[in-house]
Amino acid sequence: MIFSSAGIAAAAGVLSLLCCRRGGLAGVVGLAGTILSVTAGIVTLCTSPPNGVSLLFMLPTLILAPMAAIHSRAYIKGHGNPGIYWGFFNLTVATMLALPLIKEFLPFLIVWELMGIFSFVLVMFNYKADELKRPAWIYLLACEAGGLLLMLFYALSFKSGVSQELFYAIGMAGFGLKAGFPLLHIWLPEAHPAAPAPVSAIMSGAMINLGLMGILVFVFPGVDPALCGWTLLILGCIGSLGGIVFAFAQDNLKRVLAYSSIENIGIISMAVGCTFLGGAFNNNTMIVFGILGSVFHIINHALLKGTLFLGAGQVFCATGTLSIDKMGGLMKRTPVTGSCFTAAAVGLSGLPPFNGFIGELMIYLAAFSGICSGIVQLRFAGIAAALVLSLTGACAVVAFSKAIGGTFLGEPRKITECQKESPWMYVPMLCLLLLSVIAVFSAPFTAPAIIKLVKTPGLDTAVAGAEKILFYAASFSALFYILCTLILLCRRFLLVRGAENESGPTWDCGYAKPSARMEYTGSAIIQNLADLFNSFLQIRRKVDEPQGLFPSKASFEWESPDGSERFFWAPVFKFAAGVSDKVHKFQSGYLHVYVLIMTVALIAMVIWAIVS
Amino acid sequence: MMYWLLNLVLALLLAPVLFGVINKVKAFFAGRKGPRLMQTWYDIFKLLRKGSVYSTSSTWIFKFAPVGTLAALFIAMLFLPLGFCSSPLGFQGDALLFLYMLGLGRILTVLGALDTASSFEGMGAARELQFSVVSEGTMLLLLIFLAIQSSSCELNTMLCGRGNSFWMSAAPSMLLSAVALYVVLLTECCRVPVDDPETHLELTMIHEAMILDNSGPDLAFIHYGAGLKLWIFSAILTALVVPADLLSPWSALLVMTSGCFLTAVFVGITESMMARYRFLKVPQMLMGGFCVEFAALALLLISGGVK
Repeated sequence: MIFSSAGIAAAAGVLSLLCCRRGGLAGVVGLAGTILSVTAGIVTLCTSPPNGVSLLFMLPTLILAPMAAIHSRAYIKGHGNPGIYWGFFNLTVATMLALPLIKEFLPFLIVWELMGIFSFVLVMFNYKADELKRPAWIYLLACEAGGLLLMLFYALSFKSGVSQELFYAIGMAGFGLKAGFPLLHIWLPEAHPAAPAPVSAIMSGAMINLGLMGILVFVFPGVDPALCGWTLLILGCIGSLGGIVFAFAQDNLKRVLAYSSIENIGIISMAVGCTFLGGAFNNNTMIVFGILGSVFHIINHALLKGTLFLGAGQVFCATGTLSIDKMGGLMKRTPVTGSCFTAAAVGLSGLPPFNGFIGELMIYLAAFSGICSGIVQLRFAGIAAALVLSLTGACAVVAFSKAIGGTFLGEPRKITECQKESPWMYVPMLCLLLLSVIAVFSAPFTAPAIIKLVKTPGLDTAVAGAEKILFYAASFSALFYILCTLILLCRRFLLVRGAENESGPTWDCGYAKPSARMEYTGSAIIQNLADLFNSFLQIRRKVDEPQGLFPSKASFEWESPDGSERFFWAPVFKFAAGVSDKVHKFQSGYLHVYVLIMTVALIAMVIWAIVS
Repeated sequence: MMYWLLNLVLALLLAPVLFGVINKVKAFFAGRKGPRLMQTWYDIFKLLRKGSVYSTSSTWIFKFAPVGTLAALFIAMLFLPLGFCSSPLGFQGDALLFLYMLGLGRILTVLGALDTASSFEGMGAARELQFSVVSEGTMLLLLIFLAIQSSSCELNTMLCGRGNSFWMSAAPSMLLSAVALYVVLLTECCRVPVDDPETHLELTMIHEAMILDNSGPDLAFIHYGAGLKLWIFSAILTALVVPADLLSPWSALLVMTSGCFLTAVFVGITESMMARYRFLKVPQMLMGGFCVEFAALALLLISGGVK
């Protein structure tokens, strides 16, 4: 019963695959299947809620899957075989719905592997494009490496005498590869831009959370809570700050969003870390705010990042590019998408009056209750968390100002042709935004339910405090809307009386012919900050300076490739390749050499056995 | 509650006058007579009566930005213990809502600037974004500092519930915090040496560059909002340094108001004494402010001036 939604999705996936030859039919079956399975999922949750954290990790999938499915209908038109897309889309959704409900590790591992492979097909969907090969390959490698580590984790759980630290580290790394922890995040900035936008939305909003869920359900039970807390807190601090600094240095819109996902998973880990630390030091307020912060932020991230990725998909369909520096002025031609994107981006920067703020407020309060607690360790953790959160928030404002400003505002820079937006694409975005507004105002009422789900007794006073704060936060969000309306009305009144409104070109300080080429591009907006952080970002610049009195040509290019890939993984893989090359000599293809190797090995083993 | 309302009304009325004070001080140093104290109010009323010109490049964001910024600043003001009276709207965690309302105002101004497609406004937006990262970090460290001193996360208690002896117990870190907050004030309110609101050389401006294209009532909202922001930061600075727990409401009102005006005088003196920094030097000054606040926090934690 409890698996009914996953079952329906899986059946719909298989059916769509069977309808491969008839694209239209596959589309109908696929979309209907997703919506049916999500309905079944919601009904199951309402009638017989599964206990514990699993429900919380199902919610993002349940919210995002139907929206992404509706968006896909328009997105995949003319992009390959719809049967294959819908088949694997539904199969991925099925695995994602099933995972939170599985309590045994072995079936979990099997479904986990299936999820990786199904989603790999989705990432590869537009397989004819050349630039897709590398990202898809990296994604497959990351999935398989994670799977292997988890298999090792499973195998080691039966063997005694293994060092505990190593055992848990292997589990953390296996799940961390999916969650996008720092250093393990390399697949996100590659796979997200390559995958179709609705798939990126699901992967970023829902799938990476599952990595965190795996850690919470399978790795952490049995570990000292203080150790868990510190690990997650430190990983979260590095991930969120590093992620967002790389986010604002990117030119590809979906890469910005991918790095922002690394940031947000970092923020969620920080919140969970605060919860564990609160538990370790018996600080009830910290536990409550930590739980609420992580849950709200998971939901908010799903809603807002979903909107942003769907918006990026719309932009890609309208302009055919994702390069922020080439776009501009899209707000006038795709107004609904632009407005949704702007609202969601402001929300995801953690600013009120949107729901991103509610989550961040809770995490801040967890940190501040640590600061005020008087216990040295908690105070230190709280200061670190709050400081990182505020710097992350400020950098997120930069990253999203750049994304909005470069893509939607101003005048078109290079891409002047733009197609109309399609309701199939913007209606899901509007729905997600509506849900996020509801999330703000329902937060005071959902808070006690969330705490009850996690089932930690003895937190009643702290919960009551949190409810009150959420109520205040929601009322001030409402007050912001009211005040804005009042001031707008006031301005309308004043302008009607003044009655000399006109429109004209932008004042460009007396310059006679302002053109779009003079506009600040996305890269120009963040150039100051990128310089400030350059020792961390290591931006690659290619300058062709103007020469002579009458320079004929000059050019400037810059890109900010992933730091961990350049300075950690590339050397590691280079070393591995070097070793493999040397070993490769043995693999000569001559049978007698192989026999010789085997004989030598056999003799060596015999000698070893005799000696020991 | 009544006293707080009275203080709020007073703040709303007097906020633009702070600019008059600054200009008077600057005029005094320059040996001029200077514009009248109420000049900003006159400007605002004049602008309110005018029409607006909207650029053909801009969209609803440009029209919404001044409105949203003003609303955000007004809401931020509601949490402050103006005149050392507890705000009736305060709650645990309002310090963060306060910080983020300022952030909301900032992103709206930046987006409004980018919406005009003007290269100058882009320039201003880029600089504002760069400086905001550091000044927001400093502001948060200050909040942590206050939270440790007061064991609370509510601005009322953080600013006015620290007892009267915090200068005795933690004088060095209080001094450092005041310096850091003054640096943040100069940045956030766009004063010399970070930004020069007087020049109309577009290349050297930050805030003024971002609002080049606003006119009429929109510009009036922006000017008024700038006044509110200056009042907000001066009020925090006053409440940070003055232990006023035992004052009667009326004398507290007097202390707060004169504190704000005194801050304006200080800003005027600073502006008269020094020139604006080169843009490359401003981040260094901001980083300096951040480090000073960090040192204040570290001193407070080490010296044990903690409840």
